[in-house]
Amino acid sequence: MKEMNDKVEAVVERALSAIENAHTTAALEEARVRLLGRKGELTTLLRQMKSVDPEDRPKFGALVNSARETIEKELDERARVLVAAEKAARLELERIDVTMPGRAPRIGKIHPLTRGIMDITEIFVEMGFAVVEGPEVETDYYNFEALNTPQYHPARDVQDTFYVNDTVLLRTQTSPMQVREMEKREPPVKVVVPGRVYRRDQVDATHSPVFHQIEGLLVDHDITFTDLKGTLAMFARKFYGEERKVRFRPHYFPFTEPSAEMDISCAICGGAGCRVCKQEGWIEVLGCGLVHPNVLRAVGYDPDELTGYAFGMGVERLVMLKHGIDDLRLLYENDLRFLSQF
Amino acid sequence: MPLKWLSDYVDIDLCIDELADRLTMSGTKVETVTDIGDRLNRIVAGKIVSVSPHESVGRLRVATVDLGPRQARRTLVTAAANIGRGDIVPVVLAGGTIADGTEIGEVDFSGVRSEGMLCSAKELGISSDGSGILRLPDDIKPGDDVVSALGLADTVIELEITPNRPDCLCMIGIAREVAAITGATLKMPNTALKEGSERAEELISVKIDAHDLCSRYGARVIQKVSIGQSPIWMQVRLSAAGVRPINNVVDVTNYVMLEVNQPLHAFDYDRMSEHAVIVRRARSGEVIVTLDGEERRLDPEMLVIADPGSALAVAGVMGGLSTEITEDTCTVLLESATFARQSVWRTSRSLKLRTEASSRYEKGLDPETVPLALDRAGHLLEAIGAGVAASGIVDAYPSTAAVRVISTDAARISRRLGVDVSSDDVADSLGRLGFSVRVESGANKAKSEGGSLVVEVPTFRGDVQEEIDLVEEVARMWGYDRIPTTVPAGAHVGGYTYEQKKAMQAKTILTGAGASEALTIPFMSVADLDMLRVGQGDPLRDAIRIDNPMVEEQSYMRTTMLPSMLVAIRTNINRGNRGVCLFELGKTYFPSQSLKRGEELRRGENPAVERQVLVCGMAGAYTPRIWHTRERDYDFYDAKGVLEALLEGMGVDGATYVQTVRPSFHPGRTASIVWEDRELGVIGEVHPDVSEAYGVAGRVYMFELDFARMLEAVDEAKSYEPLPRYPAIERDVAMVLPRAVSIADVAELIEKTGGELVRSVTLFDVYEGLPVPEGKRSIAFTVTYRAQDRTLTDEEVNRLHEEVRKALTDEMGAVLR
Repeated sequence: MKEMNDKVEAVVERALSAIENAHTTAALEEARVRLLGRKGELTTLLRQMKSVDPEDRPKFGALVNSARETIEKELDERARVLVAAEKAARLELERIDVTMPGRAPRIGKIHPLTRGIMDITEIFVEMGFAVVEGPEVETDYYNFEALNTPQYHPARDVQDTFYVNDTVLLRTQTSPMQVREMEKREPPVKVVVPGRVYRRDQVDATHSPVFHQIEGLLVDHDITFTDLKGTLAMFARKFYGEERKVRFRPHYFPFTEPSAEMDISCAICGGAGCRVCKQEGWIEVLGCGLVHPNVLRAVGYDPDELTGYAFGMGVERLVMLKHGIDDLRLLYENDLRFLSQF
Repeated sequence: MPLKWLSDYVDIDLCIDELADRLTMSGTKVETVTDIGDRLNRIVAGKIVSVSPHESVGRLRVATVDLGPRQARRTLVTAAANIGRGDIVPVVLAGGTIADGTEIGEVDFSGVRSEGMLCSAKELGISSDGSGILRLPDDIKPGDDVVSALGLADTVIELEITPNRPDCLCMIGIAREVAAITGATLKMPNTALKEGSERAEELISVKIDAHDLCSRYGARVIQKVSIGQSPIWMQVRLSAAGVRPINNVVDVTNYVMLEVNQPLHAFDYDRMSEHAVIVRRARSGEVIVTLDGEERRLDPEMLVIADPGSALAVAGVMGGLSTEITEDTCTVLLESATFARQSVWRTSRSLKLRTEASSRYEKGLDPETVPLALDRAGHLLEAIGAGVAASGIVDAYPSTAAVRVISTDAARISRRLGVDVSSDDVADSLGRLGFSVRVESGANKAKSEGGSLVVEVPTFRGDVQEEIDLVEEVARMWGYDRIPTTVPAGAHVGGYTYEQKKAMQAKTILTGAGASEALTIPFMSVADLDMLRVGQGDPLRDAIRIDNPMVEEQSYMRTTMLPSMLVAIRTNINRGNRGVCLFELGKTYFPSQSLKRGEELRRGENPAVERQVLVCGMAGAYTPRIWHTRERDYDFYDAKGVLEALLEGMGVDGATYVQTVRPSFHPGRTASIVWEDRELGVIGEVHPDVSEAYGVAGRVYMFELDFARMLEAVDEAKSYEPLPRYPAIERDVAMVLPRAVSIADVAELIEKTGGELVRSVTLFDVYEGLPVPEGKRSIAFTVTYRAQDRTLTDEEVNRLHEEVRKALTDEMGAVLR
């Protein structure tokens, strides 16, 4: 029995050594067959059962079984390690260069002016304004006359106009839509009007014969100057950021009275004065005022019954300020190297 | 606006920053604040002790100058001849600087060392006169600092005056604003006169023939005139205000204009025949030579100042050469008048002649200033010794301007502003601005429904027409910043229109498909249509012409989006961008019927039919050189792919493409985009002649869609179709057919033959070239069969597919492979 015992132990010892020396799953499989296969060492040992004293046979059987269990456990353990290692090696071989560029679907960009118009109108939509658009080829009546700007009015001077004939022109402002909307709708009228406008300006870094404005109009009962300030201050906070200061200065537009210009504190210098704000610390962003009674009369509204406010802003200027664009011409050249930056 | 001059009329206790802020916040925006004279440095008054010629350089003179008890005498070399012993002159000491910033050092003039420089008026920045050394008044002592003695250092503020406030275009107007916002008192200029014994009305007569164009004409006669330079203080002030000094009479007229905003014109009295002033319309074809030497042809809509013989001046615009003030002028007729602003506006434009006077008249002047300006000018001319005023003025003022009265009350003003202002607040604000406010008693108030305050508007405030204008005056005196903010009550449902939402959707899809958005200027020219090969009589030629374009290339409103897109593509290619893919959702413009016929438009009618058009163009390299994809250029099918993606994304099903021919497109590579017998647009390769005309090298692909018409084709309802529950079976079919047979026709035959079990027909291969015979091509489709209610058997599909194959052979003559 002692002899058999030693033999089993020797088999186990060799087995463990073989398993440890198997460095591939194939070598390990080979070792498994050699150890546990039908002609394997342990099987061969078991066949010697008959030469064992019958009294010791159960003990011997248990001994061999225990050895098999040990070997199998070691084999499985080793297999797990080797499989994992081989998988790791294989994955390592599959390594790619993740820094190579991807196959990106080509993406175009929305024009920064469109984006600006959407950002601005979105804020007013949230405040309950309807977005409407109107004709660019306009009549003198809507562009000037109905807006309290009759022939020879000094305010016509500052807007050099493209004419089609004596009474038809290219609108110089989006304001004619104030009149058209009031004619079309029953009060309350609450609209914003984005659109293209035209003035005979020579092209340079800050001028273009065509540019964009956004007009706003609210006409209802008991609209006051405080409402105008409240609405536009809210707009300024949302569009420019909570930290920007807002101020209203008296100004003049023929179709509003009282009129104002709204300034925001300069974002570059924080109000201290710099090149962008021409040392003023403030940047003018829009014109506004209470709708002039003559405009209300022109559309048949009773100025004692209805009041309103109107405002208008130039989109190019705001977009240029926002993105630090120093030349307006870039906006109309459509160079992809420019457009793709937005 | 030089502050030292302004302080003559109002005491300014505020620092400049505070003053600028208060002016800005009350509506007179300060644009810039500039210190003038700050470059002038180390300039003192000197008395010439001796002058002698330079020993070796003939044109130079050497002067010894006394600089007062605290400094040594200096030797100075000058080329000027106008100095003599005893003159007081400005001296820049070595190391000092003159107006243009030049630093003056010690200079050796052929052996004589000049320890500084004697200055002209130009070098001090007073006027453009650099011809001689400036002679200072006797009250300046040697050693005095010239800059402070002459008031050369000053702060000039530049203001933005809005068109409604012509009254602010002068010292008094701004002084009145300053007084109103600071509470200081406005001080009117001195108009005291000595006046001679002769009476003006005996020296001249004034007759207004055109009352509609001239509401007041005042004249004053100045006698014993001696023309010369105006005093230095006046020159200094005029220069600081940006006006060039000329001579004493002209300088005084300019000075008064800047003071009270009333243009004055000086005529040489002795050159006016009969000394009779007639204000009349010009005769048709009448000619006058104006002060600038130009001959001007006039028409009867223009107003002139004439004597019985001829026109002497274009009223409110420019004087005539014949009565110009010269050095020989002895007697001057000063004109101070009010002309109709529309008339001056029109005259100045049709003569293309804009002057300081015309731009003031155009904005509207106060007739009540007419005598004030004459008196002030008379006072100044007497004070500077330029002449003596004859007694009185001649004042033709047929109908006195009515004083405007507006009734209001504090409650109504409060209602507009949204803050509570009291009657006292209103009276105080308006009072400070020169309005007179009367509080109606209780009994009167009941009767006059208008309100409890009666406001008399001063004549210089022509802009104040009705109550709302008073609201603004009160608000700006109160301070816009003191008015609180509220958000109007009332629920309104706003939002975007359907068209706006779809436009945003289209833009999102197109950017996702690789196109960037362009924005272009919607002008074109006739040349564009020629370059586009658009035929005569084509509706695209029915374009709106601009009467006053800036350049010929921008003289029409565009009727097609192609030109601006071609220009954008060219810009990109020329600048070295190898591939370009752009889209624009813009407008084309066609005249309405009324505009074409020249009829008056109805209220609310649009002069033009403005159509939204979507254009998409691409050219050059489709892919850049990159590792994963073979480099190639854009082709027709890239454009079509973008279009198909757009239509699918927008919800347009069933568009077909019909080969067509259009002038601007390649005759063999153009399709009409058709949906239910309507053309939505055109897609194709731009005709090579067109792209060449626009200077685009290489092929350009483009599609143009009528956006509104495309929206009509959008299926927004989208009814749901159950997902397939049974598997599909695919069968391929390959064949050789003549090139002329279109893929669409083949696919249609397959669908028709296979019936409703055919779920899709996909072209997966096209091949031309050997071994396929010339003029033919090999094409291959995958046909997918599927039933909604059962699993199709192989036999069933085989049978159907065989029918398809047979139909292709029998009906199209396809050679199956």
